[in-house]
Amino acid sequence: MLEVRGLHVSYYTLGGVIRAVRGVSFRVSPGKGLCIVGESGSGKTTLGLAIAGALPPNARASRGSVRIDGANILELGPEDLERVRGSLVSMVFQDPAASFNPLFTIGQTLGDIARHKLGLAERSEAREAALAALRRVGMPDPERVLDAYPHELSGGMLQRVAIAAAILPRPKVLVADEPTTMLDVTLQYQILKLLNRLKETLGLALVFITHNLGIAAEVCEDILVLYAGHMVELGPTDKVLEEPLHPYTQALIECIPRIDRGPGRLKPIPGSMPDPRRLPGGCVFHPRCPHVMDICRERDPRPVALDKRVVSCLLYNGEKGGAR
Amino acid sequence: MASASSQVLWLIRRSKLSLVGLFIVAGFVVTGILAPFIVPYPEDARGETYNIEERFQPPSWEHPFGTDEYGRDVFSRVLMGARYSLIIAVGVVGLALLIGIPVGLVAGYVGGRVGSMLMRVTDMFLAFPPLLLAIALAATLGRGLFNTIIALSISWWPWYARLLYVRVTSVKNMPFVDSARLLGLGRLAIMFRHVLPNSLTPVTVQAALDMGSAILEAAGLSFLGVGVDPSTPEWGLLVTEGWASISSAWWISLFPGLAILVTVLGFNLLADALRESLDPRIRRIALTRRILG
Amino acid sequence: MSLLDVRGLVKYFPVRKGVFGRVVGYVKAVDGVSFSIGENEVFALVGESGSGKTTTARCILRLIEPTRGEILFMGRDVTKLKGRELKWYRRNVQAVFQNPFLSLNPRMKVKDLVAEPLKVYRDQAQDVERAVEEHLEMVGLPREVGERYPLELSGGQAQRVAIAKAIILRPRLVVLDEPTSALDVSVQAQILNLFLDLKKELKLSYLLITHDLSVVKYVSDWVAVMYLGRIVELARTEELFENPLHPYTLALLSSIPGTKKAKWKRIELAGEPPSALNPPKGCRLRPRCPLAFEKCHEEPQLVEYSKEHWVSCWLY
Repeated sequence: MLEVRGLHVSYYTLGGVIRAVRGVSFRVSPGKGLCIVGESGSGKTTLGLAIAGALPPNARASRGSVRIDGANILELGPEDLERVRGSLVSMVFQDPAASFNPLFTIGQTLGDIARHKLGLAERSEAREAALAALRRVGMPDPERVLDAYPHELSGGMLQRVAIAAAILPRPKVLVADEPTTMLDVTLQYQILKLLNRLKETLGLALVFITHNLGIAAEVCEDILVLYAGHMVELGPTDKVLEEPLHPYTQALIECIPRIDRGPGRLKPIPGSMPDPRRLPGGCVFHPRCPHVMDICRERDPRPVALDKRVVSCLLYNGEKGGAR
Repeated sequence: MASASSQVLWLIRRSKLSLVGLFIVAGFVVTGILAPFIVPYPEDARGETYNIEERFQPPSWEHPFGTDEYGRDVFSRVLMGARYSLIIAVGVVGLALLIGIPVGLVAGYVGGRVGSMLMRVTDMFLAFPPLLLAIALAATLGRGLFNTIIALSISWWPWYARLLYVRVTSVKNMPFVDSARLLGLGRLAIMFRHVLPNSLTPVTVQAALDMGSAILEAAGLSFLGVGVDPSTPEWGLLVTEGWASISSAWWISLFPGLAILVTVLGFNLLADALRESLDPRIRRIALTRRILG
Repeated sequence: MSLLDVRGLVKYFPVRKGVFGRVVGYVKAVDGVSFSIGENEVFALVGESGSGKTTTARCILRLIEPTRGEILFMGRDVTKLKGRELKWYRRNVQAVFQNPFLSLNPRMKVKDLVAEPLKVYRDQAQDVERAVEEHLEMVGLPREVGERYPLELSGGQAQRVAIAKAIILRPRLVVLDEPTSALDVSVQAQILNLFLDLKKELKLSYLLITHDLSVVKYVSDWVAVMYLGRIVELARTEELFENPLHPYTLALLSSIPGTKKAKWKRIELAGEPPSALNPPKGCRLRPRCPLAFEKCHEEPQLVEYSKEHWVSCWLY
C-alpha cells in the first residue's frame, strides 16, 4: 500500500526556491492504479520522483510523508534508499532509450538488475529471471531480445523492456511517468493494456503520470488532478471525468479536442500557467477561473471531501452552500 | 545574443569565482594597455639600464619584486611584460580565429567536396602535437614577437576550425535554419545571420581559455630560447633570466611566474563563466520552470 | 482550380554503406502520393512516424528535392522554380513547425524574428515596426514580447511568435507540421482556435501534418491517412469520421483513448510498423492487419469508394 500524506517538495535553485508540490495526499492499494494528471509546471513529475525516492539533489521534501507498506521513504538515508529503489518502488520514464546504457546488451542490463536486486549470483539464474520478466511484458522472442543492444530495438519494444526492468525486482509500487508519450499512437494502447495487466497480476500499486486525460481513463481507477503543485481534485476516474467538480478539471476536459465533437472552435482555458516563483495569492487557479469569487483572491482553499472525492475549491467550502 | 548588460549581470550572479576571473582579466588588460605610463622605472622596464650597484636586491619598498642581475626593477619589468603577453594573447588567438573560423564555417556549411578538402588540410595540421609544431615553426622563423605570434597561431587555428566545423554541421540542420530557407534567404545570409551566431559559443569559450594558454606557450617558447628577442620583458623570458640564480635570487623568476599563473587562471575562470552565459539553453534551464515537469 | 496539386510524389533516400558510400538500398519515404488543396481549405495528412507525412511536407516546402512527381502551386511546377519565381513561391508558402524553441533563432529578439520576412522582401514601403506590432496583436501577444528572446517565452507564446512570422507576408498556404504536439492541452486549444481565426481572416489554406485525428476533426476540411509512404484513405473530414473504411484508419481511431463506445469497428494492429527500407510486398499493412486475406498479397490501388471518399484496400 502506497500512502502519500501532506507532501511538499521544493527545488533550491540560483533563481530562488521553487515550491513544486504543495500539500498532496492520496493512497493507492495493491492492484490498483492512480493517474496523476497535469500540464507542464503542475509538479506531476516531481511528485513521481518523490514517490520513487529519486528526487534530484537540489530538491527537498520539506513536509509530509511517502509511505510504502508503512515505511516512510523520505526518511531513508542514501544507502537504504538505494536498496529500496527497485525492490520496493520502480520507475518507468518517457524516453526508454535514455534509461539504457547503449554499450550493454539488454541481457547484461537486466542480468545486473537481477543480480543486485534479487541477489541471484548464478549467471544462469539471472538470465532466467530476465527472461521471465521479458515474457511477463509479452515480449515476442525474448531470447533474441536478451542479446540485442538498445539501439537495435524500436521505441515500443524498448519501452516494454524498460517495464520488464522495472518489474524485475518485484516492486510493490510502479511509477510510470508519461511512458507512452514518445510512442506512436497505435503502440500507446498496447503499453497501456500491458501496464493494466501487470498491475492486476502482480498486485502493483501503479502511479501513472500523464498530461493526457484520455489516457487516464484507460488505465486507472482513480485520478488526481494537479495544478501548479496543488492537488485540485482526487477521485474515482469515471466520476472525475464525467462530473468534474473543480473548475480547472472542468475546463481541462472541455479544452481537449474530441473526435465526437468539432468541427469549429475549441474552448481553451484563458491565460497561461503561472510562474512557479510568483504564484497568485489565494486560490492558484483564480486568475483563469470562470467561477472566480472575491474570496478566491484571498483564501487558499483546503481540500474538502465531497461526493466520493476530494476537491480544493472555495465553491465547495460551504461558503455558498456547495453551489456550482 | 542577449544584451551585454544582462549578460554581465548574469555572469556576476552566477558565482563569485567568475567575478574573480573577470577582475583578473580586466586588471591584466588595463595593466597591459597602461604599462608604459604607470611603471615606476620605465627605463628598467624597457631594459635600457644597467645599475651595477643595484644588482640582486631582494624585494623592498623601493623594489617590491626586487631587482635582477642587471639591477633592473623586476616589478616594472613584470608590469611591462603584461603588455607583451596581452599582445601575444590577442595576436595569437585573433589570428588563429581569423583563419579557423572561415575554414570551419565554410567546411561545415558548404560540406561536400570543398568541405572535406578543407577538413583534410585541417587534420594534417592537427596530426602534429601543437607545441612541437610551434617550436619547429618558431625555430625556422627566428626570434621576435611577431614571429612568435605567427608560429603559435599556425599551430592553433586547426583547433578552432575543427570545433566550429562540428558545431556548424549540427546547427545547419536545426529547424530555424529551415525556417530561414523558407523565407528565401540566400545561402550567405543564412550562413552569417543564422548559422554562425549560433555556432560560435564553443569557439568563444575555447578562445577565452586559449588566451591563457597562448601566454603560457609563448612563455614556453621564450624559455626554450626560440621566442621573443632577448631584452624584451616577456614573462617567459623573465622567468628564464632568473633561472640561473634561482637559489640565491628567487624573486626574479617567482614574480613573473606568478603573473603567468594568475593570468592563466583568470582566463580559465572567465571561460567557464562564458560557457554558461553564452549558451541560451543552459541559461534557460537555470532560469526556468521546466524543472517542474 | 486548386491551390496546390501534388501528383505522384515520390521521395527515396539512398542508404549508403562502407567506405565508398555504395548505395545499398533506398528508404521509400514517400511512394506515390497525390492530393490537392483548394483555396481557403485545410487539408490534413495523418500518420505515425515513418508514414512519410513530414517528408511530403518538406518536398512541398522545397526543403528537399523529390525523386519523382509534380508539385503544382497555382498551376506552376514548384520543383522547377528558380530565382525570382522561387522567391514568389516562398512568399506564398510558409510553415509553422512543431517545436518553436528549435524553429526560432534563439539569438534573435521576437521583434526581429517577426520582422525578418519583411526585410527579406523589402518591396513595400511599409512601416516594419508597426507591422510587427500589428501581427503580434493578431496572434494574441502583447507588444512588450517584442523585446524578449524566444527562450524567455512559454511554449504557447513562442508558437504564437512562429505563427506571426509565418503570416506576416500574407502567404496563400501555410504548412503546419505538428504545430501543437509540443504544447499543453489548454494551450493547444488556444493555438488551434488561432489557426481557425487566421484562416478566416486572411483567407489562408493549411496543410496540416499531424498524428492526432482528434485535432483534425476540429480544423480540417479534408483528411488523407498515410501509412509507409502511401495514402491509404482520403476523404472529406466529416465523411471520414462518419464512415471510416481502411483498417489502418480504424486502428488509428481505436487508439484514441476514451473512445470505447465508438460506433465503428475497433481494430488493434499487431506488432510494430516495419521499416520503410523494406516495406512488405502487396498491401503494406498486411502483416499487421487483423482483416488481411489472400488478396492482400497484391497491391491495392486508391479507388473512389463513394463520393469524395477514396480508399486503398481489397475489402472495398
